[in-house]
Amino acid sequence: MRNPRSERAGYLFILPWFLGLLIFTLGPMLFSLVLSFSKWDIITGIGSIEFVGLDNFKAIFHDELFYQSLKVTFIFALVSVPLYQVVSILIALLLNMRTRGMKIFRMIYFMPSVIPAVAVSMMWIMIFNPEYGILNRALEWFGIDGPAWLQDPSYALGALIVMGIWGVGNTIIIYLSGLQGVPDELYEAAQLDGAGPIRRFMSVTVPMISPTIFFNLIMGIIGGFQYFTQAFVMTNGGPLNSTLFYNLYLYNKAFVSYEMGYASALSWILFAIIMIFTLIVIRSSSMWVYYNGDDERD
Amino acid sequence: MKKWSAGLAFILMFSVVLSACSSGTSKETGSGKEEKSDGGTDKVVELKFTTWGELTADSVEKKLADQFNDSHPNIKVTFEPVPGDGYGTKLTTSLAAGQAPDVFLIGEGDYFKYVDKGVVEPLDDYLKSDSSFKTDIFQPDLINMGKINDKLYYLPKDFNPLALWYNKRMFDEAKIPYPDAKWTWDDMISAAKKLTKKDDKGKVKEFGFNATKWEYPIYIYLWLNGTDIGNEDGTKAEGFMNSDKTVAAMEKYVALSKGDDRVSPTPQDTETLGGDSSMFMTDKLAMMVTGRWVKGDLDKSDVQYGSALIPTGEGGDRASIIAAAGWAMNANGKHKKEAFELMKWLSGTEAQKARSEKGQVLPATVAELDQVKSKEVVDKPVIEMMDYAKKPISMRSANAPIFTEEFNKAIEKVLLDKSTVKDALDEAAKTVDSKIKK
Repeated sequence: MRNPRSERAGYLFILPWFLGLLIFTLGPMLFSLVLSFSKWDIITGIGSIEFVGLDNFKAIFHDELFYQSLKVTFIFALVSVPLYQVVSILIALLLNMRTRGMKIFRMIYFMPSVIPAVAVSMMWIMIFNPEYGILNRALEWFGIDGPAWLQDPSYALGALIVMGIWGVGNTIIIYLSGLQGVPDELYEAAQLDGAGPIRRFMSVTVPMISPTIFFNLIMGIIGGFQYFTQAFVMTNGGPLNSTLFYNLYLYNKAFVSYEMGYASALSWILFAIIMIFTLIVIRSSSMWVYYNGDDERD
Repeated sequence: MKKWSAGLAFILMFSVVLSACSSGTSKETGSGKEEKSDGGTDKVVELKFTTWGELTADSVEKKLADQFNDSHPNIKVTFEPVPGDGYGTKLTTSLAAGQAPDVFLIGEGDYFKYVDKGVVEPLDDYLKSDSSFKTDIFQPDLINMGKINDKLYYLPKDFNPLALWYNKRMFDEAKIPYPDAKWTWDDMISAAKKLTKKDDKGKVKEFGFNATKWEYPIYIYLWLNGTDIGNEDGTKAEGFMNSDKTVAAMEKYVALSKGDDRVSPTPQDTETLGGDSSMFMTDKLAMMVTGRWVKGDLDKSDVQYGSALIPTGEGGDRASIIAAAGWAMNANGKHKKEAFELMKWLSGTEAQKARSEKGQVLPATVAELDQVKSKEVVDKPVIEMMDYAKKPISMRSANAPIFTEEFNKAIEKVLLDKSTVKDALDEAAKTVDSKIKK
């Protein structure tokens, strides 16, 4: 039965959030959409916004750095998204074991995720330092002369990808909760049928946690395409644009050369790209994501 | 995409909302203070000014602001400093939102850009109508630097000519006489060779000179070789950035940090070793061309240093760049007359004295600088370098960022062995010119 009073209370409760959405998210998004069709050299103030139609988009498709940043971002996403998922699942499997002191291990793996990205970056700058860094010192024991990780265009992007593994704690935690939702009797049944550990993982674990994989995959794709802070702090796009991530290029256009219209256009292109990839994953999900309740509806 | 674009737009819109709500920078305080100069109203005009750094409560600028408030009952000024890194961004966004301070500090490198966008008020009319203040108290060079198309846009705060800084302990150890006024660039390089030391494995442990990737010392070096990266008004790179002279000079420059005969760290080395001044302070670097701002750090360390004139080029020419900062007036400010009062105070004699007291900066005014000159021993060459200062491209053209970006990229390519000097500079010049035409 409808109750106007409690309905009103409900609306009141969501009002702050709704206002926040309007003022801080939707409004600015619309503004940036308008800006993407304008030329705006932001120093000169709001009054100097000049409508230029599709000029920004036309210019972007002739922009060498646009393609470079797209390339860097795609390589990063293509390598890091699957890599981080696999690593996260493997670690989650380990952390799911029932051993003494497991809570401490879980904490150790999760802790890096609560440290701010800038602090993490500063730490890794030291780790990667070719002269004094712990990484090259360690390689020295094996007689390897380590490269100048962040200063060499052939290693910089790889170094950032490897570094990212350190921060997969959030993903691990989500996988862990997914794993704990898998009923033990399924494993028992599989074991009775003679399935070994690998078979049990492929036939029981993976289908059962497929909704978690689905969620993490989408979050991973979005995060991968929006990679920014570490590159900003550690390499600023260099050397030779080898780590010029899309968002970094966008930031440079907006806040270094103050071309806000161009930057807005770039941001909407990225929006479209992320949207397409997310949709592909969502569309494909019916083929591989298994929801427990589906059978009952059929 | 949402994260950034939404974030940016949010900042802008939010500021717009704010600016619509507040009534600008002036408000009636109703305190009943009599205004003496402006027709006896009881309005107190509120002004803001900003600089980078200087966040300590007892900074000179803060004191200057307090003194200004005490002596100007009709104006209330607030000092709002911004930490160094965020300054440009903060200033730009506040200009965009119409919320910028009435008076702000600009460095010489950004100066032309801001003037070109029309956000800085020209000062000539204010100066003409105010007989109490004359710009001839300032170093003529500094005032000339502030002129664009014969209009003056800023009043000097302080200045820093680039000079050669050397590490005495390393010179003594190598038994080499300190740099003097007779040194040519070649003398410096041969000294640098003697100062460079390798360990048993052939790895350089102590460097003689820093051939930095920072543009200013490179510009000076190019001028000494009779060339530049662009034409005078910064509209053409072809034939300048890739001229035979530039290519030959840059080949020599790059060779300083590459190969068996290298005397300089590469920019990558410098980065991994903590920056040139910290290498200098730990006796790993014997000479560098930089501004006097390093003095603050050098004095805190136990390095024994001296400064010298930048050596002359082949034709006996000398050159330097003045890194300066000046007060500019917001062209959209609401109280320009009062803002000019503040600027006069911030760059006037008292302020120059207050700032140079600690010896960190050089006063921009003639009389005060003469005083410093009479006492100064160590930094005498630094002050002398001022007479040789020229305008870098960033002070001649709004296109400067295009020039520097492509030039830096070319040098980076060469240093990473991805290209020869000639190819890299040819390509850079072509790119610059095509970008300018647009």
